[in-house]
Amino acid sequence: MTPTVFVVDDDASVRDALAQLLAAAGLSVRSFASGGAFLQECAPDWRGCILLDVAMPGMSGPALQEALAARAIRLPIVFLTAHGTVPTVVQAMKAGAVEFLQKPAAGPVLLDAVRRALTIDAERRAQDTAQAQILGRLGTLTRRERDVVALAARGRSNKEIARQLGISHRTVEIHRGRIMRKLDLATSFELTAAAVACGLIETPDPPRAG
Amino acid sequence: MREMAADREHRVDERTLALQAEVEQRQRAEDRLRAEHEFLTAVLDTADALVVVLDPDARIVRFNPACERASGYRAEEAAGKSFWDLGLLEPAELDGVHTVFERLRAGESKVRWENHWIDRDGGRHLIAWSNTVVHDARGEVSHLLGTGIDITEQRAAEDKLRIRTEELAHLHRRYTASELAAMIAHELNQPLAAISSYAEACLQWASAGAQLPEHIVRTVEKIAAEALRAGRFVNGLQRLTAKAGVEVQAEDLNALVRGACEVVAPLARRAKVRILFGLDERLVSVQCSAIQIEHVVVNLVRNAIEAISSAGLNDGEVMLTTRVAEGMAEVTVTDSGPGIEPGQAEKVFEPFFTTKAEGVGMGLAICRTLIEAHGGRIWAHPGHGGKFHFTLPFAS
Repeated sequence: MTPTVFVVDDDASVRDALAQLLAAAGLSVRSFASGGAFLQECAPDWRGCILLDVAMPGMSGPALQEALAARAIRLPIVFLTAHGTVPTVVQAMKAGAVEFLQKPAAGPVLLDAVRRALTIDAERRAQDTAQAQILGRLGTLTRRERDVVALAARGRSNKEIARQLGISHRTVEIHRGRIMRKLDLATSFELTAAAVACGLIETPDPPRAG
Repeated sequence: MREMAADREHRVDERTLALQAEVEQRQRAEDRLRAEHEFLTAVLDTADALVVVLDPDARIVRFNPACERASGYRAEEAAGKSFWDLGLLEPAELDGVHTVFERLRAGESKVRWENHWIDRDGGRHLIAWSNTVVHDARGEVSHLLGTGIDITEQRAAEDKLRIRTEELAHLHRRYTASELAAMIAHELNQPLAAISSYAEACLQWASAGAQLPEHIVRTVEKIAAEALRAGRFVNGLQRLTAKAGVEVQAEDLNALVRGACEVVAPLARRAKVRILFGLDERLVSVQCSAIQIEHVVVNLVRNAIEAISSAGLNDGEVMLTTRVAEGMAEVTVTDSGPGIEPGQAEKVFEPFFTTKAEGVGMGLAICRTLIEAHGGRIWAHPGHGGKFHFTLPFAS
């Protein structure tokens, strides 16, 4: 699905005007009259961001934010409010909102916030995809190769790995070459980054003295 | 000769008897007088009221124990002294008291006056005096009699209540302004947002190559700018009237409820409405801004009293209860008025909703804003007899 800006606002004129503005700026737009309506249709594969009104009858903007978080839907949110109160802003930003804008917002400011939200979503998706790919490739490694990855990602030298696993230095070298080919990685730095991204190790150990 | 002597003796006896009778009669009269005097003294001694009697030269004739307590001087010390020499009066109030004295000496009776006595230790007592005069047989003023009540504490309590009432009225005006501004902000910012976005959409089309004449583009830019200008004004108005950050702390909800009822007590008395309490004394502290919650309770109780009197009822009852409900403290205000019509239980909290002839309809809207800002809930029950509830989170 093309990245889309989902406008959620109970005011029909505001919905229509925002949709026109976003479409004129070349963005794909879909509008919803309530948080409930959005929640009903929303699917995990939806890409883009939400332009969300704060005060709506029924489900409020922050309530929708909470409901989406509970469903692990991570579409970035730009809040628009007709009358903002400090606690609402703080709460929304803490819960991961990209921006909190006061209505009426200047066109360039609004478009800038929306584009930033779209970028955040795109980057997150790319990261997720890369992670998924590496995870998939990790699945093709043998058990011994995984042991080597876990140690190599922590910055251990081939000699140390050989000693720790009780195998020869040469065997470690062969495992390492095969791992880099299977995971399609070029440097040991990339290996560490991939291992951290996939949750294989928490953080790399600090470099050792000597 | 003997007859004469007997006659004289007889007359002497008669005279003696008569004298004896007279002495006894006088004795009885004196006893009666003394008893009367002792009775009066006992009354003066035990009265809480101050009683001071002056002669026309302002010398103290009578100075009862209540006077001793309020002045620090003993009656023996005061007796015979000029009242002005005791130094009981505040310099600023001297002229006023002098005038009262002269009016009484000129024969005016029943002169009411309030002034302070400064006691020996410098303590100030506000005394409400009711003064009069006593005339002698010739109709001249023989004594000036002052009866006073020490109203220092009563007045302090009244002042405190008046200040609280004024504070609450001030808050009410501020909250009304703030509520209005929030409503205006919401109602105006929506169309302003639409105008600004429509204009910006035109500008986007223009910059994307739509063939629009230059002067139209410039004009649309101005539309967008004007919408933003109006928005800045509306949002500025809202910031100006916004409720300043409120301080919440642990408060005794029952004490707040009782305190709020003191403020509306005069209104309740006028409307012959009894205020009853059913407070759960085991209730622990709630987390709130005392003045705001007091404001909410005052609003609800005042509404209840007005509902009773505007229904033409000559008396009634308002009942306040507190209890624990679902982990929150709950306050309920019920009244013996006509209650809320079905279908209006939600509407009563909307701004400008009112059933009062002279009401603006902001009271309950403000209550809802305040209670929701505390993380509580407020609602009404339709049906006979008004019934409002609100909840507050407990402290800790």
